[in-house]
Amino acid sequence: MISLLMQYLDVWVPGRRSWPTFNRVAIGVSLISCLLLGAACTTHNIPETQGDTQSGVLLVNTNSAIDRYAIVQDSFEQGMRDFNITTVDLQNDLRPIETLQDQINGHEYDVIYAIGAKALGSLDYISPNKPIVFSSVLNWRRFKDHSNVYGVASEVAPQAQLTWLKHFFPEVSRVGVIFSTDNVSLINEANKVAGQLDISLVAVKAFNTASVKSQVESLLQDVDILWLISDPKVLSSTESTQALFQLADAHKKPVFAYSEIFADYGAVLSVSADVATTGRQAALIAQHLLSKGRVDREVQFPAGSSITINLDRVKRYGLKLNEEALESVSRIIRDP
Amino acid sequence: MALTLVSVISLWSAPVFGQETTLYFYNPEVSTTRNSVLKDTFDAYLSSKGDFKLQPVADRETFNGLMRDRKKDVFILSDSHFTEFSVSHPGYLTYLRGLKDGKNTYRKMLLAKRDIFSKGYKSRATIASAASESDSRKVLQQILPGLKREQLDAVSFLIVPKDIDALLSVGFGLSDSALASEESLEKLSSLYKNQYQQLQVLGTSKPLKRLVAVVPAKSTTQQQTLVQALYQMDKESMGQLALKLLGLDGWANIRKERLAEEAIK
Repeated sequence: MISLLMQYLDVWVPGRRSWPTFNRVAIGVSLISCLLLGAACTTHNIPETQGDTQSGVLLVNTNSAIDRYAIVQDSFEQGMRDFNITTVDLQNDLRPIETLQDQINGHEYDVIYAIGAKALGSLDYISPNKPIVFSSVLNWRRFKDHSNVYGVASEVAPQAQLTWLKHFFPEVSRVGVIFSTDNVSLINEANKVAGQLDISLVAVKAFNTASVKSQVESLLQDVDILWLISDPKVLSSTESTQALFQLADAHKKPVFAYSEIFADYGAVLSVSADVATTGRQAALIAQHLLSKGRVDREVQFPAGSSITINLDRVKRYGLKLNEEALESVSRIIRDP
Repeated sequence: MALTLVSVISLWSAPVFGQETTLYFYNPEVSTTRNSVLKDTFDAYLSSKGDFKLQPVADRETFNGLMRDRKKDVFILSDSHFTEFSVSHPGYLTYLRGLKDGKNTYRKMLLAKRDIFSKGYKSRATIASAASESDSRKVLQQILPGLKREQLDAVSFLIVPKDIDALLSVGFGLSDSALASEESLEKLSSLYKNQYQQLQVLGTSKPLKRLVAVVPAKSTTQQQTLVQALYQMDKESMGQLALKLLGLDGWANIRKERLAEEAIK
């Protein structure tokens, strides 16, 4: 390694074929030291440790400048205040895998918490021999069956979503949903609970991405409300999503969605995961893993929900609102 | 003369502008994620009544400091919090108490699929609750006064935004138990019978008094006007919406009731 570095130095130092030996050695040793220190020198991610230097928990945040990641980190830290936490922020880190590999090699951790896809993806690549708890990962299903990976899903359980729908609009009885093969088990679970909630779930499997619009148009004739679930093959682009909302509006049918981002598209009601609760849940999972070495289920649905309602749309579609449910609302929006 | 009288009456009932009076709000049972919707809705109602605005406060200590220092404002807080505060800070009067279906009290219940404090149950049970951890522990001690110290210490709390979240979390296996109001349990019973039937009541609190609106004993006209505006909330649609966001449908004027009682004595 040192000889390679020396050769490198010879190449990029201009105008000189050789430097005095002690300079080359000094610079080489410095560079090697930097490589060994890893994160501190190659990126600006200097890990922070709370408590003494015997690490218990490694917290990796994809980007703490993003509000929802900062909130979830804060609530996790509150829940784990009795533990030693070392934090690494991967914001602007172009070599996250190296950063994390160095961190894990240099210290002993009992559990690792990953916030966001960059954090989890990097850790999954390294595959450290430690339990990883994740949250705030949109494509969490990719990691679902990975060994030693636990976490909190990004969407509220379909059963809870339908429960909230029924709570706000008790007279809604026929709920339409279009899904791809990625969501067969979700639809099966939803079907089980729909009957218990006095809801008739009209579920249509999408033939392909191109057929979604026409299938939805047909579906809308037969239902009271359209339910959007997290399905990239159905909601394949911003344009196709907007088209679905326009279609539903043209048929005077409301849309109920799994995330508040759809409030801007015109969803009458959306049920998102409450971010702070997610961090707390992750903390409880981490504590269980530390004390018992296992948890009952690898991936949990979020326990907390954040509900957005568009009261103008409620009126527009003639929906009968249970006003008692307004006590549970986090955000009320109106049409512009 | 008639014109003068009409002018005086108009001035009396006209919105009072000029000096802003703030309605401070703190309730650990209301998630801070709802502060924005509360503020927007209350402000939409209050702005037509005078120079008033709602200011939700995120923590108890800050709220206590505001109550001590801001003598020209009005405060909404839980009854238990006010009782505790007024021990060391007398000189505040309770004007209004929240009402729901004509009742000014409610009960909290501890619910689970199994008795989480029974022998043989897991060593560390999780209780989902919409209140803060410290308030949840106090209510739990009140509901189950026979609990030993080590049993209370062995419980973990999962704080969630709403009672219904807490109840659903038990059904979905995300927590072992839930601390929720009797009203929320009733909602679940009509909404999701299957989950409701799985829950057993492990304990019930004594009746807890609802939110109160309080004012320093020496109050200004502005403060009185703001209190009056709160009292009239159920008469207007925006006021009704704001009340519903707090889980109420009106206010009882308990100051008036107390004065009437004293007059009888």
